[in-house]
Amino acid sequence: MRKKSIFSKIFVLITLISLIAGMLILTVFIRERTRDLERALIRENKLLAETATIIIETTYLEHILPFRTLRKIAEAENITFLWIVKPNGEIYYADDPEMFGKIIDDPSLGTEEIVAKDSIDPKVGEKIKLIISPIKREIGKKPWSLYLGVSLKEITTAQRRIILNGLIFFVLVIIFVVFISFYFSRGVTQPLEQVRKGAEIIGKGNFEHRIKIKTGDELEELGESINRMANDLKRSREELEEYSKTLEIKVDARTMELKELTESLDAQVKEKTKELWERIKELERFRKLTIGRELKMIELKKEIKKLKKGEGNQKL
Amino acid sequence: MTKKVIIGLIVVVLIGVGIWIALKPKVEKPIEIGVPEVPGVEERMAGYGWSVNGDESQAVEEAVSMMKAKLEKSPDFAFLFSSIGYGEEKLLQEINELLPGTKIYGGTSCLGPMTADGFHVGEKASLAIMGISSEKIAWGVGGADLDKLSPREAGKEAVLGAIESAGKEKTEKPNIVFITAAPGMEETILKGIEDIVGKEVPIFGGSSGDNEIIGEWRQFVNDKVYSNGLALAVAYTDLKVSYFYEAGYPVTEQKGTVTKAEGRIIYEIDGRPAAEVYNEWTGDIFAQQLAEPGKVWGILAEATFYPIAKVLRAPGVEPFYLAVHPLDIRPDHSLGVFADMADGDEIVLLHGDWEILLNRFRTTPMKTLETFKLKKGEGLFALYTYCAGTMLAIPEEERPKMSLLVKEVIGDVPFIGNFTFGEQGYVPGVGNHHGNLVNSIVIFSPK
Repeated sequence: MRKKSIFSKIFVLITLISLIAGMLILTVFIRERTRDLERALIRENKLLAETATIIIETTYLEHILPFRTLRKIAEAENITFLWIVKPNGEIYYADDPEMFGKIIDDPSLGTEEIVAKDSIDPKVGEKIKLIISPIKREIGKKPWSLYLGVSLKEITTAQRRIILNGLIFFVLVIIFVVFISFYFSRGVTQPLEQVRKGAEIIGKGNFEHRIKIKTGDELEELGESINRMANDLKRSREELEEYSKTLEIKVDARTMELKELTESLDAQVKEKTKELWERIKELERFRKLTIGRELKMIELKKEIKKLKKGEGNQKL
Repeated sequence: MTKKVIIGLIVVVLIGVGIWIALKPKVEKPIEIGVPEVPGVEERMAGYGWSVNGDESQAVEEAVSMMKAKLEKSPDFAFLFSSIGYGEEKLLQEINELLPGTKIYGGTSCLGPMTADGFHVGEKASLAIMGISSEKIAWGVGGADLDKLSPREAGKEAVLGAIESAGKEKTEKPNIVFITAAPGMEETILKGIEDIVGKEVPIFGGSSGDNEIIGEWRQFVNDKVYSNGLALAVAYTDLKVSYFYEAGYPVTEQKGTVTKAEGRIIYEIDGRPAAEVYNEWTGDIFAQQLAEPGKVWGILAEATFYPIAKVLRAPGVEPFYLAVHPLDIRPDHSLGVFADMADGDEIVLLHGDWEILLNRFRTTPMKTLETFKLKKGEGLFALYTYCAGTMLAIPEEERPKMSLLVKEVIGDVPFIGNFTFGEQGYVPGVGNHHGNLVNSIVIFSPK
């Protein structure tokens, strides 16, 4: 099985952690920013609803409805609908004529305080903020309610923009983190690789090789230790070689001695052999000269053999 | 290795789910919307129907079917208002075929008619009809041709014909008279009617209108169509008849006296050219017209928000401000208007905006209910007359609210309305008058 490098492990880990951390930060940021926008939207539209309520209450005394104001409010970009609702839930006025006279069922109906809550636009089904402001038309009676549907499209658009910008930023950060983690990982793994390679070279017998790491940490110490080890190994090897050389000289000298001895013996044998051969030759001449004197000769031969045997033992 | 990958994937998925939950919008309970209960139709003596179909036969079929569905039996009488654009003779022929024996009264309305269902404007034409079926009301209709008779004589002939049509004697005064005349001579027509019924019988109605003030208006009486005539209806009844007639504009401090006038032209106010005085009163908005003499300047649209009002005084009653619509500025700086003026008329400047005009659809019915001590929903049926000029001053997108506002005040009462070029109405103590930029409502209810 292929082993995974420390570099890739560190690199993937840092990248993954950065990715997760970035996603979480981005989420929190988007959520907080969305809440801020929602709060601003509610604040703004509460103010609008309160102003409209005051105008409605004031003009009610003159028996008129402030259509121009209501129209202006209803035309506002964020406003999805505007209703004036009686305490019994009947829509008294609506920007959309179709809603006139309809009955609504809502727990906030007749509220004494201005209310802002999440809701769904009953017509288009989109999520909205609902602002409900009490209209106090007659003292001592249950208030009417001004319902303002506030679109969240602006917030959604802003949220999308934030997400897009956030993602762009996030991607840039991730790219940066990848580079950083790459260099960081390399900073850790490169000296290790040097150590590995150095150890391999030294292991192959190159005790002259030196690991050069200047990280100022444990890795540098490890390199130095290996270098020291290589030094020790080199010295041991030199000593061994020197001993080996001495031993060889001794062996050579002894071999020489033996050789000389052998040569001396050989010379003696050769001399003796030569002497023998001369004697043999003399004997031959003698044999030739002394025919019939074979017995004597046999004896002489036996004597020669005896002599040869005696010489052989001497050699040994 | 595989194990680590799986764990990594699980972590990423969990974080993704967390993010999704964090950013996911909360689902809220929507507001529940219901429709109010409508009383059963069996109790109704009046029913209405309408159509925006441009074909006469189909439009009549649609509207009459709708109306009949709300009535127990065929109506004795029907108000009929349509826009221009139909062949009116064919229209009435179709109606008379579907409603034999029903007395028809009505005329054309600017852009279209109005009912409790809304303001009905068709691509080509539109109509609305409201039929009344009740033994408690005796209806009569009459008509007269203004091309053949003087306005005063036409008024007399029409009302006499209507009284006869109701099966009543000339001496029997109706409880109310409705008129739809061609614009131009309404005051004299009113006098003719009063010659027969007296000054105390309320006369309500409006001058028939077209879309561009080009004389395409029509008046309907049974199967008869007038282009320059008078349609009239009388009602004899024991039912309570409530009404209100007003312009509803706030009165300004600008006032004067007409020192020279003839018919529908005011030459001088306080001894000065009328148009110059009017321009001063309005804050110089007609300076351009006055600076270029030698031609007649139409000022209908601008003057809608600055009517002149005749101050009508009577003992024991508050002054009544009868609005008059300035029509044009003439080369001699006189002021053409849509109602008769006379030397010595006390006048004031009124001023309003479309908000005031739209509010009238609430305030005038409210005043009717208050004055006649009626409660919401007590009416049996109603007739609404509204000045076309003031309707046109209301932004188009706001016009669908007109009938809804009326309905909001009077309740679930069938009503029909038309948009007219001059309105006639009765003010207790002051009498019957013809005015402009006015609106009125007449409500029939049990006593």
